[in-house]
Amino acid sequence: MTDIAPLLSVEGVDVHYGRGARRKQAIHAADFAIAPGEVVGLIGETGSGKSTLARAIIGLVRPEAGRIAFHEEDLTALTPAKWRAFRRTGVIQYVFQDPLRSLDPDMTLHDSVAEPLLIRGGLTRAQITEKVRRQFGKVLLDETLLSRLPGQVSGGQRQRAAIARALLTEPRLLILDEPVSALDSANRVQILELLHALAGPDVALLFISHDLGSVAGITDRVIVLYRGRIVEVDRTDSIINRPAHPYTKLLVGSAPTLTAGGSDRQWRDRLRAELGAA
Amino acid sequence: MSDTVLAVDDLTVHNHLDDTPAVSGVSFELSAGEVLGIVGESGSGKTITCRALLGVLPDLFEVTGGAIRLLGRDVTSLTEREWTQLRGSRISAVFQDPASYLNPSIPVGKQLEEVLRVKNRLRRKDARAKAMELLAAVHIRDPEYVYQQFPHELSGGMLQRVLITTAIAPEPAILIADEATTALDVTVQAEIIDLLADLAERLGLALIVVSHDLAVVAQLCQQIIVLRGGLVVEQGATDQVLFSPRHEYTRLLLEEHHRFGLERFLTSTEPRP
Amino acid sequence: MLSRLVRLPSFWVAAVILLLVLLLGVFGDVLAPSNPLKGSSEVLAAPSLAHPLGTDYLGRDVLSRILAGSPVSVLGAIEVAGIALVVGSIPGLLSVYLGRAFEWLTLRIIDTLIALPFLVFAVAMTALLGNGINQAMLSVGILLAPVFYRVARAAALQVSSSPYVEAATLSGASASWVLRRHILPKVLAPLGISAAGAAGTGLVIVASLTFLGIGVQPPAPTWGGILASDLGYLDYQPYAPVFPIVLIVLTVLALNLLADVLRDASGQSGRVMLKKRALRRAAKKRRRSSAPIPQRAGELT
Repeated sequence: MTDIAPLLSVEGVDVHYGRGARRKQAIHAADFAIAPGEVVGLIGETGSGKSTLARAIIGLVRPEAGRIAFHEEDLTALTPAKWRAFRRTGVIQYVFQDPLRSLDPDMTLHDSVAEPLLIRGGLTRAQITEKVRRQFGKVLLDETLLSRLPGQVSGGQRQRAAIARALLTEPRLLILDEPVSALDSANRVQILELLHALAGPDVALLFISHDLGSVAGITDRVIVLYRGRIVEVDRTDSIINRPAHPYTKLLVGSAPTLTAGGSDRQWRDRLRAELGAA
Repeated sequence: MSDTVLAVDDLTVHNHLDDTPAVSGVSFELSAGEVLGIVGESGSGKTITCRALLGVLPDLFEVTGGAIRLLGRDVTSLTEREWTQLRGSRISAVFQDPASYLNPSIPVGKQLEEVLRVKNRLRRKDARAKAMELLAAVHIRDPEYVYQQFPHELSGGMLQRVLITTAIAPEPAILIADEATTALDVTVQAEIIDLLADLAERLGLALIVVSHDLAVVAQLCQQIIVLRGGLVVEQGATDQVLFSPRHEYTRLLLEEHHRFGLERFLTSTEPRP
Repeated sequence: MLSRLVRLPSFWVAAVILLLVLLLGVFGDVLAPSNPLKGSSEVLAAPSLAHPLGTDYLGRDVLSRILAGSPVSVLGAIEVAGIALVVGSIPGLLSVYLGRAFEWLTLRIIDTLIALPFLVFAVAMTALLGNGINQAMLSVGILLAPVFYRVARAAALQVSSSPYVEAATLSGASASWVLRRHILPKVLAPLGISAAGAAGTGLVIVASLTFLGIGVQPPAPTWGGILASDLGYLDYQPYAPVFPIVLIVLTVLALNLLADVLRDASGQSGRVMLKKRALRRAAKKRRRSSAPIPQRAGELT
């Protein structure tokens, strides 16, 4: 994977938040890269900084140090106006955890999905509607839902609409922040299937999740973030079968599986003690 | 069957708001130290079942059929007064979002102490000592410190521990954990699951674990009920449900784990096609 | 939202009263049966056919004076609400977007306005700008602006931190796009509620000011002014203040009612409330029609 030029590279990124005495460092020297078309999981617990890191990539938070480059373009050097122009190209898109809150409750699904193109401009209304229609087909949403409000469709349909919006600009990188944790099982499976089918040479996916178990099946590689530091980056099967860092071990050992049973309680207790001492 | 603590027979709950059955035909028996899992999505009737067991059904919901025998006593016809005596002391519960069940302006230890004074009729001094003892029993490393914290100063996992402590303080026979680990991080969820398993073993507590995640339930339970739309679609011993599911919906739940969960890698380490 | 509004009976009560008051405001001058400024020898007369509400201390017809005073009172209240809306909500919205310096400055100005006693401020303003109805309205409008500032700011803050605004920003939306497409539609409802409330408050304040002789010069009639002159002759006509008071109270009541109804119909909680009410009614009806089932008291409502 190192021989291909990376799509996204994050080099030595530090992010702080808060001001004055309450200022804290959220991310310590984060270093990783995503190749074109790769599916990567970014796993960490609440407060581990995974969302902060994702927000830094899309420019919602400004890193203090380091460099974030997309296709060799240094994003950390962009001015606000250049950021807007970069975002209008839609090459990086973001899907939020809760589609009920990431779609404007007073806008129809059509208008919400079309918004990135409306902002970018240059297309007629009819052209945009045609594109939205086609996108709806790709995410297996019925066209009759176009005129509905987010509150009038199911959670799974909402998240599909949110994904349709993200895909409309043909992104090269799609960042998904816990995309299935607000859904029920049937919809979780369908959305994951959809994303799995979507991943290909044209679009790379970055899954952010606190639960390795919920996304492991579709990731190529996993980045484990613990207390603001990347503690392990490896292929998914190596992470699961041969975790190196104590936190990764605990993470893998804690993920509920159908087979594990309650027998490894002592083992988990030992890992917790080890991690507490570190 | 002298150690059966809870026997539910053909429980039916009617929803007068929509005039639909909310739950129908739920039956199970639970012995001391045994763990039962109820799996279902929001709207499957799992929470309504729990509420019926606790005698706290929402407005316009009503038990219209079946029997609930709690420690040998039929509780479907109890008065509000009798329920108040029973609830908390014989059957207790913890829910999702522990912070909303604690008063934000009182230290958590004081709130635990209050339960001990009301339910266990302990004096102030004894209650404090007992509170410390209980906090230590749920593996809280520094009970003195946690005792004095306000809810907002503690993490979700710690709050859930405190609530579990509060729930088991009056030494109930049955504890219901309704999505008690849902909002927590995976590692913290495992801690709470381990704690519940430990309590069931050590105290002989009968547990009902309710979750939308089949795997969470599989960690703990000897028997599993899968609910969907208020109906029991699958019921049986854990192994049977996991390895020879009869209903399509159960298979869907299992499939999610096999395809997207760790199982995929644990059973085979071949790279992704 | 309109369809939810018309289902609330209190909306109709408010609407009917306000419509009548508005008619008074527009046609009050024309409706007056006699000249409201012309005195006669019949001083402080009791109600009669010629003078349905009696006459005042200069022998002027009270009904005519109340009718003729309506435009100033009603339009004054609307003017106050309008000024407050513009002066308050625009900086309120911008305070979320124009950076910390602007935010700090406007917040301090609004705090200052809240701290000012309104009568003193109004008197000072008239001393500065001259004693006229428009100056009085302006000062009252400015004093009511903090309400709109806070409402607009709170709504904008809430919306601007929501994921859907973030999603728009991530698609390269400018601040003005976000403001137009996402924030304005959400802010309008709470602003409408505040405007109805402010019009009621404005009416009372304008009445109080004219009662004190600020804003409108004596011969011209206003509701507050009529009330003031009536109070001087309580010994002769103890019932006289009732007429202007009833009008003022009814109007304010209707405006507050309207504000309440708007809030109930627009917010999420109102939506839930209406839905619950309808469901409960339906459930009750069903239960009455079917065989009686013993109802158990639920604890949770």
